[in-house]
Amino acid sequence: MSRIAYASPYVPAEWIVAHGLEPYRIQPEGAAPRGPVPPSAGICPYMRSFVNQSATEPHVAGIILTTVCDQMRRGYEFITDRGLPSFCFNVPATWRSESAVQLYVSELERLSRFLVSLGGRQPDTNAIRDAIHECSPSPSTVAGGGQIPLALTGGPRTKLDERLIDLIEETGGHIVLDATESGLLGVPAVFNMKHVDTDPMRALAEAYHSRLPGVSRRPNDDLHTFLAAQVTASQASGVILLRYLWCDLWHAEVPRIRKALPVPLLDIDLDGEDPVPRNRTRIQAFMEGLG
Amino acid sequence: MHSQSQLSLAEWDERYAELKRLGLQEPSYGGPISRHVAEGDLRLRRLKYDPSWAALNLWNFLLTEEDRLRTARQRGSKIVGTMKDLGTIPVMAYSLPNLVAFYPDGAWWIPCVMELSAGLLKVADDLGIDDSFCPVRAMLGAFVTEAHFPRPDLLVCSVGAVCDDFSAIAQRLPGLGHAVHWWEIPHRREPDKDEKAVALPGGAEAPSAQVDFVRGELEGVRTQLETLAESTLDDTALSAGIAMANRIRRSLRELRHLVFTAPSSPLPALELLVAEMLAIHFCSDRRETLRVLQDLLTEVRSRIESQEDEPDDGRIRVFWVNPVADLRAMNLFEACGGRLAGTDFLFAHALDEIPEDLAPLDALARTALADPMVGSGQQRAERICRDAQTFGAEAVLISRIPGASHCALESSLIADTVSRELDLPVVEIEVPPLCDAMLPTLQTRMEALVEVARARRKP
Repeated sequence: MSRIAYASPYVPAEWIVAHGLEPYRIQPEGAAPRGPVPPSAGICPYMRSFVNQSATEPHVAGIILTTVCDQMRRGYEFITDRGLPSFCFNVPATWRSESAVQLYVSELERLSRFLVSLGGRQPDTNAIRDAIHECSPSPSTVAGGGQIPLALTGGPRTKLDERLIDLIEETGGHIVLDATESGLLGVPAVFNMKHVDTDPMRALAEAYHSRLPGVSRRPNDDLHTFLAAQVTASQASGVILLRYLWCDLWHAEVPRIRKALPVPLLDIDLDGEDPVPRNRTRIQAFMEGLG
Repeated sequence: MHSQSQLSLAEWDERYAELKRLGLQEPSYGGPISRHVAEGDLRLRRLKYDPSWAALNLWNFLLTEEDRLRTARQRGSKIVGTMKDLGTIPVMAYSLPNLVAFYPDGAWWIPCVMELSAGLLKVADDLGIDDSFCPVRAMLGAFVTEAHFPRPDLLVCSVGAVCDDFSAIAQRLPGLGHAVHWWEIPHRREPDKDEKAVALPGGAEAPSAQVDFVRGELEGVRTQLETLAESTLDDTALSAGIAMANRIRRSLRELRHLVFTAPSSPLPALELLVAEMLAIHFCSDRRETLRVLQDLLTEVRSRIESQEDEPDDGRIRVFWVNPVADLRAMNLFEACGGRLAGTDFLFAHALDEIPEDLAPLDALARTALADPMVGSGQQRAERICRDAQTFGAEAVLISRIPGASHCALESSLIADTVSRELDLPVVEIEVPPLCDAMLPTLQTRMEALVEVARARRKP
């Protein structure tokens, strides 16, 4: 089965499955492999890692990027420049209007044509319904055997960044909530099955766009409400926010998130290299403060 | 050659006194440029200026915008803060008689013009928007201090295919008590093979469906403006607004053409940058913008006529990409032997004429979609190549904006395309809001570009 690589939470895996293709949501290795995007100051290490990995991985039939952030949008150009089959999914930043929903739906239609061009089949309602059952995404599991309950939020993370999770565990933490884009913020809302039967693309748009809180949406107040409620429910004692260097969207929100949360927040920036050496002391101090 | 006659601020004071003695008639905002230093515009002391009466008016017009906004409010006009789209929404706002529009984005020059004395970057720092962001973060400080423009009655901001710095900073405004009407500008994509495409000002194309979508978003903005103005913005008024904007754009087009193609540069780079900026929102007075530009045109035409028997000034003709955060960089560029032969200051779509043979909102939707920031970097690079060829550029200078999310990726793409397509030398520089400490580095890079281009001239 042909693999379709993507990274953004706003790309519905169900849509790819319904076309008879394999959704391949890449968690980049992190130590950016060589590829189309050069190492350069100001370039998001996550975008570079994703683009370079997806452009060089075998068995990838097509790559989907989104317009959710400026860097990913421009990363698309580096892939097309290599002549690789790729698609730039225009995810509207606005989300409250009917026109925004319609724009998302029209992008699903365009994506469908792209998937069909790669050998996918035009899906019917049954195929979409089956795909929804097949995918049924679940949030990433909580981790750690420590005593201090912690929550994570922020952008996506690479496999290399997972070392931070080990570090948190080593220093006495226990992650009870992963509300990052690699966790809950990457999980679509529950599907309205009535809409799946009557208007499946609208149902996808609702689950993946209208009701999925995100830092890039305008306005994004619902993200703060969502995080505050999730953190409170998780009984976390503190929150660690992970964001990539040059990610303006998450960076600018740190003060607002800190204000919205009922517990202390530690802001960690990731630079694409091993995050442990440069963050060990900060995380240790944060844990000691919570302990 | 203009550079030999550029004046320091002190020299302008003397010239101003002389002109007054000769009976200089000034507009209401007139006066010596140095008076703005007393109001805090300290950077003016470090700049070199064109010596003409037209340039004097240009500077005074630019530096008195805040006064015009406050006067407009006192007269009962409503003030629209329009953000990010750079050139489209003001055409709509000024089509209603009691609305005045301005760009809070313009605050990005305040740290330069006031040499950091306004403390706007410090305010932004305190709000968590540090120097990893583009200097437009000064806008946040300006909203907090309320010392640089009146509080807008309506804020409108384009989102979607915009730079993340701006979008992230603008999202902080509602939390500071400034409601924002967001409107979506989608990433301009290439039309699919079997998809209906429409031509945009500037030469690009967009799928018809995207134009329809943006027209719908502009309908939403129109409703907001009508509510604020308590009057209807019908197509007749919009068409008149577009016609007026086009008069300004045509003047600017002619000015640019003359400046870029004359044997010797008839206007300094700094004054041309300021003149281009007027097109974005008319500096809060459309009629005066037109008058200021026409005076500049008259001056430039006259200089070109007087150059007829003079040889080429020998300066290297350079296409300039992106605006500079520090205006002083434009003076430095000319001191290094360069002259402008084309510009893309990120708002090329604000200079292209708006189609007048279409329904007005359709025309404005096409204009908004023609924004170089909305499309691909490759398309922007291709237009730069076309314009650089048209104006006979011998080199391209890319001025990166510190912290801007688009520059890191776009600059290398533009540089590669220019090198490949035109075989011209390209140099990248990065200009912070105050570039004094970096002058030696900037000078070295500019001189290197000029030297390489000069060496390639055929004997």
